[in-house]
Amino acid sequence: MKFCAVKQYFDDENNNNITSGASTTMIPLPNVESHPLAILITYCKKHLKIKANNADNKKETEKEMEQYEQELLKKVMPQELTELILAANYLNFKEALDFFCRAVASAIQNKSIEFVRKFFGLESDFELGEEEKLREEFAWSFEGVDED
Amino acid sequence: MQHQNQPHFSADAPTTPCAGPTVTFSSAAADHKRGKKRGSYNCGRCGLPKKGHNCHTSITTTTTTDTTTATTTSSPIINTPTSRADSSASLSSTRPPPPRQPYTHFRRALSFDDDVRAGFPEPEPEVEEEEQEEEDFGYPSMDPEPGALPASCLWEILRRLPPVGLLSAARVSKSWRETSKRLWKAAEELRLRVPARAQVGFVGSVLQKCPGLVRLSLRMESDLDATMLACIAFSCPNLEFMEILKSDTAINRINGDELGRFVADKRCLKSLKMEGCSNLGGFVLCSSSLSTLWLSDLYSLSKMVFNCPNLKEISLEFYRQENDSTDLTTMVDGLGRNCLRLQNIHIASVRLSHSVVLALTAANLRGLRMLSLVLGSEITDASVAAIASSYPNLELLDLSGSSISDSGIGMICNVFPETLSRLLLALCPNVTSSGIQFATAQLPLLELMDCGMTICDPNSQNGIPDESSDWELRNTANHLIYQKLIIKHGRLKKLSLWGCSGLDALYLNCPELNDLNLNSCKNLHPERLLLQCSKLESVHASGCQELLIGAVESQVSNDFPAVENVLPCKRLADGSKRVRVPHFLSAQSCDDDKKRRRVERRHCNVLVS
Repeated sequence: MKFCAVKQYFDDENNNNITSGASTTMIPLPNVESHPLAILITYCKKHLKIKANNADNKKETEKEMEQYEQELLKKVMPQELTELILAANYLNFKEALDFFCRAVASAIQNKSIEFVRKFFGLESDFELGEEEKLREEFAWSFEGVDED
Repeated sequence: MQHQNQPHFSADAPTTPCAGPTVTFSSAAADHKRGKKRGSYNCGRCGLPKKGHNCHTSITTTTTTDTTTATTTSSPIINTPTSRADSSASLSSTRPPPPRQPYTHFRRALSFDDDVRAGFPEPEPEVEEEEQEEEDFGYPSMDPEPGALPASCLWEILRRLPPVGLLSAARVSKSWRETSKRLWKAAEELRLRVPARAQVGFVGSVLQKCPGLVRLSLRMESDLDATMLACIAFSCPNLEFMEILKSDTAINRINGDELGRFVADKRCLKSLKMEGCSNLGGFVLCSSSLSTLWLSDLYSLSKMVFNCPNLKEISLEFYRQENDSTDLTTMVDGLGRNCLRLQNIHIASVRLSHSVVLALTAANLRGLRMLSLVLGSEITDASVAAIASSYPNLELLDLSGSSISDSGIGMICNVFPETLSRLLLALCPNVTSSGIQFATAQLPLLELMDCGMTICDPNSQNGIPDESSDWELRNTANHLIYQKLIIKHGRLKKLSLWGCSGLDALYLNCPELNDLNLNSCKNLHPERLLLQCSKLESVHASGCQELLIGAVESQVSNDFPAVENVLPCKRLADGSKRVRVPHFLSAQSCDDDKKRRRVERRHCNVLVS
């Protein structure tokens, strides 16, 4: 069970409930939207399927997973990635969390600060002088920044 | 500018916060404990130890490295007489992302790191990161705005950024700055590339952000001098593992006194690896914590004193010049007296001689398991006798470049059959195929055997004319005496016969063999090749005749007749009798497909002229 939060829920349920209607129990997931959840479920299923197919060969598993991940990334909007991360985090789904975090990291790597702010919908809350100071401090690190 | 590679996720599960598996040296340390398993071949510009080109191609990738930076094990092959292909047996691939260190090249057999450069890029949080996450959730002033990421998710994202990314992330917003600051503080490992025109204080300013640093790896493209060392000493009080790599253009100006001071001051330093040490001049190293020491490009050292009682592994590579005036005998003598816990010794120098070996054998290094004395053409069978009598428990013996002969091999086989798993005898001109065959017959635990450039064609010329005319020439000059090699071994995993141009027939029955290196086996006859190695994953065949490459491919992909196992039986359709059915008719094609795929990949190896 990859969704550790759900698993925990089941465990708790089993402890509390004597009736065995567990299969039809609804599990509340208040912090997860339906769209990211759907993607996560697909990811999970695919992951398990690939794992089962390549039980012996780890390299094959990874390769196929990578291919699948690449395709997935093409379909997903960058902005959705944050939602996916939140969902994966809430569900405690480690592999997906890692994958999406990696994807976001590589997306914002080497990009300008404005790009990053736009990506996450953030605004600069620095005071006037602070940002300049930060910029000077590590001026060399801002060479070679990619275009947005 | 500063640059760290993205983690190479080809190994297992990507890092998880608490596991911190992407730790470079722990697996190296563990490997040393196991002592065997992996060895990396090194192509050398200069022949043996260095791997130069492979690591350079990986490192010079730009900052946009991504996870597929596989400077992989099917490595570039240089076809010169003094080089050989890289192949690394990552036998312990179960380890969490194994360390990829660019200079594993000159470790050759003693290194247990893969060739692939892993780089986990960014600083790794400590194990107590769990605790820190708690803090994040409860931290009052960091209530995320609606839609913004909670701190723990941000941590996960920022963790995966290279240092440049992390530094610029600090400018996005206050909460980002907080998180990135915390990430720096939690960092235990840092890999940094110091660019050629780095400003003074560049490294210092970065290092000061991560006072908890335990492992530091610097790739210097600008010159290295004492101020950098001082900076490191000052900023990283808990430093345990330090590695300084050097690009070709940078100069390492550190001298022996400065190094000695550094080592003496750093009380926790366990591992020090430094390249380009040509300006040391002589040193005295005193440290009770140091257990691993790798120095390369050493030259003309007036004295070398190692007061390091806990030293377990030492690797000294001398710059290969004839007029190196280092007194190796005295040095080894000192090592033997002061560093009694040595387990792995690697010395590469053209000045190695029998007297050095005698000094070594006079010492009482009870734990010695890996001995590598390469490039010393004055090492003889007598040296082998001395080694064999003093250190009968060796697991790895590397006497490449020496003058030992088949009788030396005989001595090795007398003494070491119960422990020796790796034997490297590349560039030993007095070794013949019968010696090699004897070794493989007598050493049951052998897993790696390197006989590169041993069986050389006495009539070969040094130039590299183009292949077809060369072959004809050789055919017409048919008074040459070629050698053949028949090897049957149940455990051999890697066999290297690179440059064995005197070999014309090869029969291999090694069911565990993964990697076979036939580079430059120019005279290996395609019809006198038989490979019965069902697990063969890669065959390096650059510099070989086209026909041979074809023969190799067909042998590996049509392994059915060669497999000794019985073919599965099926009944004929009319139920009359059972017949043997070749593998392709049964549903077992996966392995073969894989092999075929690998053969095709091999076929695409670059033939460098």
